[in-house]
Amino acid sequence: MSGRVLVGVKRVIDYAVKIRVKPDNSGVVTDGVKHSMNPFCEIAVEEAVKLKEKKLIKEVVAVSCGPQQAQETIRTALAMGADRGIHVEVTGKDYDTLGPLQVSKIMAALAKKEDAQLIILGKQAIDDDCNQTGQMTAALLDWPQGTFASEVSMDGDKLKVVREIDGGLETIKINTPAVVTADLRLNTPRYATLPNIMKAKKKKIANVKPADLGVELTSRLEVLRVDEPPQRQAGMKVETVDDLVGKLKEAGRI
Amino acid sequence: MANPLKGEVIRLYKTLLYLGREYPQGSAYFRDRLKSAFMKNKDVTDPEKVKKLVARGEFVIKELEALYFLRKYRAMKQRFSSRKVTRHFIGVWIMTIAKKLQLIIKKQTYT
Repeated sequence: MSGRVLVGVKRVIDYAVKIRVKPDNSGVVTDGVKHSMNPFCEIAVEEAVKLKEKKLIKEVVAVSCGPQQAQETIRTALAMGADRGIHVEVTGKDYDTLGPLQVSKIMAALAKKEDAQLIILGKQAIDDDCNQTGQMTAALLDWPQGTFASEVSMDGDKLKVVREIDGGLETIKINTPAVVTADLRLNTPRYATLPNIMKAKKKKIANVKPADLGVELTSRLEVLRVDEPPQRQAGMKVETVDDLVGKLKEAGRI
Repeated sequence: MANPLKGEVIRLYKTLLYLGREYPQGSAYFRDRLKSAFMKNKDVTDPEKVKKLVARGEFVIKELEALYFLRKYRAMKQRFSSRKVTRHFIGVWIMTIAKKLQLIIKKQTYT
């Protein structure tokens, strides 16, 4: 048991920012837009740090794939209590097409390299809403997975995960090494305070290239178009029930 | 001006300024109010009083952190949660918040 936990953190457009689509429909505007750590990744980091505080694991390693700015996100994770960071440098065209499959290949390669006992990820990112990276990572490593975790407890080399499923909760017991993806209610992430961010500057962030890990980043997906969601049609008021029935008939609803 | 609490006050100001960057009405709005709040008390020299004011500042920090967390949580819940599961958690939730508030109030009365 290495007692090492890998936590994936993604740099996304801040949740409070109004997203604008580029005029040529090739994607969304990211230049000059506030970015921050994906909220579900924050929850994942918090869970790892909590496990460490309970002395159930020994080391928390924050991983992020992306350009130079991804280091800021790693820094936030370090300020929250992660021990060190790994920045997998992906830039330019590779970054534009970087998807769950590529990231999970990187995570799987890193998990082997670092001899990780557990991988904790957010269930999904708020930018592409894919909800695939955790599942794919588990598949590539052939590890058990506990997705949509709302409660995690460790017992030796076993992991009890309470999962949020449609209409209720499911409790499963899996062996480690395993992959866990965090749902919204797993915990309440702590705030990365100013003094902690300063302290985090002393922690180490290793720089790795995907090629060093033997990961090929070619994507099989092509984005055809990105559109704004349709504008909601204005409603109308009707005076009587007959009016309502008439209008509904007109609209072909009844 | 060799006040031993000077460092403490500056640290508080910096922390609040940092937190203000995320303020819903904008960092400029927050900064103006923060500055005037500090300027209002710039002539306070009694260490006891300064300590009390710093404690109030610490309380505001806690409140801001709680505000940001709740704001984000609510946005995430609206976007990503199904109603059924949400209902299940509301009870748990209220309990946690109540506990947090109790802690804050306790701290406040002791300091």
